[in-house]
Parts: sequence; structure tokens; C-alpha cells
Amino acid sequence: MTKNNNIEMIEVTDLSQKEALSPVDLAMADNRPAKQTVRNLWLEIALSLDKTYGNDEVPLYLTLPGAHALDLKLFAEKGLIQFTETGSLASTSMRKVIAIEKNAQSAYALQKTIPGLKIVEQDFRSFIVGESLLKFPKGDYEKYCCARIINLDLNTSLRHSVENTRVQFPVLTWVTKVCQVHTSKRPDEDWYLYLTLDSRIDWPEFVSNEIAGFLNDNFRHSNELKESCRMLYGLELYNQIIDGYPVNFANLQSEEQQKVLMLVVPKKLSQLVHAYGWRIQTLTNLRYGGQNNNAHMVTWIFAFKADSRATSAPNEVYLDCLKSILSSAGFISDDGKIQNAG
Amino acid sequence: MLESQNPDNSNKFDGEIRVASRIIDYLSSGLYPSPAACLKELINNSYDANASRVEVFIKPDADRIIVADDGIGLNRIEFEKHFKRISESHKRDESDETANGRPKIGKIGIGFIAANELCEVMEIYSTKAGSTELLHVSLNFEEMRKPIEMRRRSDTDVVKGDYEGEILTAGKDEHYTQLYLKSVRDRMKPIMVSEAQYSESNKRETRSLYGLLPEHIVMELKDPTLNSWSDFDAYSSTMLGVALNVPIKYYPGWIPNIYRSDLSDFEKELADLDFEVYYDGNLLGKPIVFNSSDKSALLSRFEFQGQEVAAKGYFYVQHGSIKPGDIQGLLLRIRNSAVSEYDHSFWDFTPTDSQVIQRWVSAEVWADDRLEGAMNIDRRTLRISHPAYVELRTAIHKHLRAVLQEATTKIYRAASIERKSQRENVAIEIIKTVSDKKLSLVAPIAARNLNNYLEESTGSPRIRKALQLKYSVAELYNIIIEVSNDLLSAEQLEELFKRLVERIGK
Repeated sequence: MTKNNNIEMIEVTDLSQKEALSPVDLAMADNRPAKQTVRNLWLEIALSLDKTYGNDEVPLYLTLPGAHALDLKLFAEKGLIQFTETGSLASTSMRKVIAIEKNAQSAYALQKTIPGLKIVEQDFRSFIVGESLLKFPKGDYEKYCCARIINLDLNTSLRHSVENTRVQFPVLTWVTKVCQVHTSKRPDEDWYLYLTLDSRIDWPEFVSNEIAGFLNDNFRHSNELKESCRMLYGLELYNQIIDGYPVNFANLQSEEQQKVLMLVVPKKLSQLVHAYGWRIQTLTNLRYGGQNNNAHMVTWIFAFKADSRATSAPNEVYLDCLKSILSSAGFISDDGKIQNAG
Repeated sequence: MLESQNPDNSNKFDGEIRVASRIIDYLSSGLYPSPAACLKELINNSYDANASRVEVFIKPDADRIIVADDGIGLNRIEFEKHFKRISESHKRDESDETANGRPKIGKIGIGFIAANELCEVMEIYSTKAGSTELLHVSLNFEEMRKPIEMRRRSDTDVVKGDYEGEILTAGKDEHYTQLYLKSVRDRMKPIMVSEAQYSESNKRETRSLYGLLPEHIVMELKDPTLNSWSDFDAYSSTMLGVALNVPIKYYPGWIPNIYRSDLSDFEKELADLDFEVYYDGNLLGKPIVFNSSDKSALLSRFEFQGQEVAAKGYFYVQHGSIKPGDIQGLLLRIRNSAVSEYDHSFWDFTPTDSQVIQRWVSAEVWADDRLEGAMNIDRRTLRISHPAYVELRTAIHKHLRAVLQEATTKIYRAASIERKSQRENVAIEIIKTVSDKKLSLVAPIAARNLNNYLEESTGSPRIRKALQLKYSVAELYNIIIEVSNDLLSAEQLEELFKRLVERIGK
């Protein structure tokens, strides 16, 4: 075990730790160009917010960095967070970035990479106190929840659950809860969500059909969205949805599943959070992966803008949310280049 | 220890720890006085496990503490044997040395219990080289603190285990132990991480050693304005407390170069232990750093072979109080681990006329194992009636007395002579300046004679002493009258005194 004071030179992890790391950590350790492009997009927003970030009570950035903390290393490289001469996080940056890592040994590996980093040793679900809309984080966790950027780099698929015959997506419920905390504590402060998911869809048919109905229903509100969807999905799937035929998203090709999520997730989120006073602007909506045994992934950057119309004209807010969903859609090729929709 | 095996999953197990009643007594009254004392116990455990590197993570808020080492590790059988009855430890059953020849520090195996003072829950992950078993145990101290009768339904029916374990998988070549201290007690946190100072009396800006390279820590410790470790923030004070106690190397430049060769065997013995502790990424060294020039210090080796005990060490004396005060006095080490902190009284050394000089002394003494018998369970205090203690105390006092005498002669008196000499030189310089600038203009021969006289004074103690004399105005008049009476006429005398009165009355 050797320690190098240069943060750039710190090994991602030593071999003694490698076998104890979760598959998510190992996947995130892979410094693929596509993922690096995503991190650069994250960095861009973070740098712009950093200009106005003073001695805020809330963190600038809440992240699930994995043991390797590649996002934080990039942020460090660009001066967003500072380090001491021994390579530990400078006191001035300690409240600025907060990490969440459930696995104790991964947390240790992460702590070795960045001594001084605050690590909440829970999974995000526990952090946000599950899916109940009656229980919320308290104390410091409430503050962390109000971070100006929350990065849910989940590497899991959009799993569903059924509560009293209602189909729910726990990940989206967590985001809704984050919104509620922001509404209650910092209602006027815009914030950002980075969300990354494995695009595999394994919903049963009834869930697919409910989602298809949800998409179809929204097409009536926005011709622009309808047209973009036709372009993105291709005629066959589009017509299936628009004509109300049974659909099974689980049977689609991986790329098509990616495209389904590119629309479903932002729309569903917009539907869930606009009533809490937030207009979602989808800044990036990108799919990547799928080659060299890499999983198919979808990633978004959402800006949550405080919108006072939420109580008086919630539908207007919702329609505004829909406008940006597919205008930011694109694809990141394996060499890290961003290409427009499709 | 009552054990149970989960019938559904043979990898899982749990059980109850029976701790000897005397340990429980100690636990309930607080065995360790500070978080630093607890942490050093855990680090010393790593040392006994033959680790070469220990990493401690406290920052940013001590919400969770990690102590991780690359030692030989622990398997389930060893864990259960060790924890069966904690005070009947088997640490030295096979050998009282580790595989690489270190004398083991722990004796009765209460090191892990130090974690009980810091937190409610401790998780252990440990694996041994050559095995793919990764032991994962979670110890519930909160449960352990309850009376045994509250934890049971009947003699054999354990309500809730003190620990729960499982066997996971690790790489065959890996060997380590990682401790995760969770639910850290709220009262402990500020002592370990606060950026405020212990002492409110010091109004200076808070200084911290967090994130400093060893050379910069040495600079901070050598800062002459540093009176005490409590001038640093609480985080740094705790860190220094830990570093003082564990068997790590000295910082480079810890002692004036002239004495390094005298202590090279101590430095080498510590270096040979090959033991490093990183504290939030910061490589720790012994926080014993002396800030003195070679000229105004002395070093005396201490070697003692008695009937009851043997010991060796050094006494370092410098001109002026040892700063910071935390390293003034006597530090005892047994098996390379410090017993408590520096004792400023040198084990109740009888005050002598050298009381002031006593504050100029910093000593470290390594005693052999025979003194272990005098050590109480807290590893902080010694039984003063123990024959080994009595014998060593007498030897230390004898040596200290000699050291103080030598210091009085070589440092205190030498410093006094040095100060006198400096004052004489200043006086000579002043007279020379007056002679050159004023007297030489009106009476060049007289000026030259005066300068010659001053040159001669270098070799004349009588003249040099005279140069330092101080006179009152009355004495000054008396001398002038005495000298001028024979040389000047009445008119000249009149004019002289007129001007003299005017000048002195200015």
C-alpha cells in the first residue's frame, strides 16, 4: 500500500480492495471516453454554479462516486475542490462535496482516495428514507439533500414497484422527495439533478402498457413532443403507442429501450415534480454504451427551476417541462463524441 | 461466549461476549481518558498484528472512524477465542513477539474494547493470507453494556447477540483488518475533529496540523511561540496524543544534529519496527521535537541494570523551558508503547533548588518487561509500591539529579557567563563609539589611549567586570570630582561642573 500525495497519481484502488468492491464500483472504474464525456458535462454545470457558491449552508455537490471517485478527481483537477499538501480534502472543500456510499469497504477505498471527504454510509434509498412521502431526511442529511447538484449515477435500471395497484418507479419517487425537501427548505434556489441509469427495461407487460398510455396521453398536449418522439422511436414503435396497441418494452432491442427511457424518465419526472413548484429543463438527454461489453446507459442533466406558476397554473409549467425533453436528446459514441438525437 | 449458527445460512453466526466483571467495572467508569487513548489502543492492536501500515480516518466529522491495517488478520476461530473472555486474552499464548520479532504490546486483550468508549457499534472486516475467508463481524457495544441478566431469557437463551458475524470471500493473498467505528458518541466527536482549540485562554488564531507534510509539522512543533499542543485545534491535539503513544519513527530533525549519533540506536530500533501510521492521509511521526541550538543544550544517556528492572533512555536539557510543555518531563515506554503522557514531576522528584531547570528537561525511558507487572490495567498508571517501579524511580531520580547538576554548570552558568560577556562587549562598543566620534576630535592621543585600554581589557577579567558596573548620579559626581580635582584649575572646575549639572539635569 503506497501513498502518493499527488491526487492525480493516487491509484484508483489497491488490489487488496478490488475483490471487495461492488460491480457498480468496478463498472465506474472503467474510464471510458463516453463516461468521461458525461463527467465533463457534469463538470461544466458544477463550474458555473461554483462561481456563485459561497459559504452556503448546503453542499454544492452530492454524489454517489463509487470507490474511485472519478467525478471528484475531475472536479479536483479543474480546481473545483481543493486538497491539502498531503492529498486530503482541504477544510474549505469539506462541506462543498458530500459522497454517499453504502458498502463499508468501498467507503474505505473512497476515503483512502480522498481523506477528509464526508461519506454518508447508506444507499440513496435509506438516505432519502425510502419511498414513503411522509418521511424525509433530517438534520445534516436534510442539508445534504438540498445540495445544488445531486448526482444519482446509479448504474441500475429503472425498476418498478406496485403500490395499491399503482405503478411506481422508486428512483423517480426519490427524486420527487428531493424536490419536496428543496421546496420546503430552499424554494427559490434552482438546483440540478444528474441522473444516470442502466437502460435495461424488464417491466412486465402491464407496466409497459401503462407507460405507453402515459406517453400517448401526453402527445395530445404537445405536437412538438409528438413529432420528436416519432423521429426518435421510429414509425413502428411510435404507431404502436399512438394507436394504443399492446406494447412490451422489455422485448425491445437495447437501443430502443434506451430511447424509450429518454422520453419516459423526463416526462414522468416532470409530471411528478411540477406541482411542487419546479419546472424541469432537460439540459442533456443522452444515451451511450452498448459496445465492448459495456452496459447500455442513459444519462440526463435536469435543471430544476423555481416556477411560481406551479400553484396557479400547474399545467402550463408541465407543458413547459415537456418542451426541452427531446431537444437535448443525443447519443455519445464510444470515442466520447456527442451526436444529436437518434 | 455463547455461539449460535444460523441454520439457514452456515456463513452467518452470532454470540455473546462474557467480559470479566472487573473489565465491566472499568468500562462503566471509563477506562480511557481521551479519544486519543482509545485510538492508540486500536493502533497498538494493529502493531501486535504485525501490520506495517495503519490508516486512521477521522475527518471530516468523526461520524464514522476507520482504523485499517495490513496485519496478519483474524479468522473466525481466532475472533471467538480472543473474545471468549476478553480479560483472559490469548494474545501472548504462543509467543510474546510478533512474527517479525516485535514485542507485543497488548497483554490482556482489551484493546478492541477501547472502541467501546468511542462508539456504539464496531464492524470488523478481517482476512488472513492463504485463506479466502473474509470475516465480517458487527459488535454491539450498546448491548454489551447492559447487565447480563437483561440480555438473557434463560441460561442458554440469548436475547440478542453482542455480535453478529458472517464469512465473506476475500482474495487468497490478502491480509488485513479493518475496523469501522459507527454511531460514534456525540461527546467524542468535537474532541477528535473540532477546528476550535481545547484551551479558550489562547486567543491566537487556531492552528491545525491537518493535511500538513511531516516537514511542516516539524516546523509547527518547533515554533517558539507554541506553548502547548492545546494551541492547536482539538483535531491536531488528539492526533499528537495518538502519535506520542504508538511505536512510530521520530520526525527527521527532531533533535539537534549534534546529538543524533548518540541516539542513533533508538532511532534505528524504531525504524526497524517498520510501523507507519497515517492519520487522514498524514504520515505521523513522534511529536517529540526539540527547538534549541546545539550550544545551549545537553544530552545524557540513561542506562540502568537493576535487580528488578532494566531501562535505557535519554535526558535532553535545553536552556529555557521545554516547549511545547506537553513534552516536558518523563515519558515511560514499555514495549515501545508510551505509558500515559509525559510526567512533568518526573515521578515525584523532590523539588530542589534546580526546580526551574527541571522544566528544561525532556526524557524518554524504555523499561524492560519486568515493569509491566507494575502497570495497571489502564496502561496509564503504575503501582508505586511495585519493586520494579520503586527501583527504577530511584535510578531515574539519581540520574535526573546528576543531569540537573550538569545542566546547572554547563547550560545555566554557561548561559550566565555568555550573557555577561555580551553585556561587556556592548559596553566596550559604546565607549569606542564615543571615543572615535567625539574624543578623538579634541584629544586624539587620549582617544587612542582609551582604545588601547579597551583592547587590553579583553584579557583582563578585572577590567571587563569594571566595565559592567553601574553607578548612581551621586557616585558619578564623586568619581568626576576625585579625578578632576587634581587636574583642573578652579575656573575650569567651575565651568566643568556648571556644564555637568546642565547636562545631567537635561
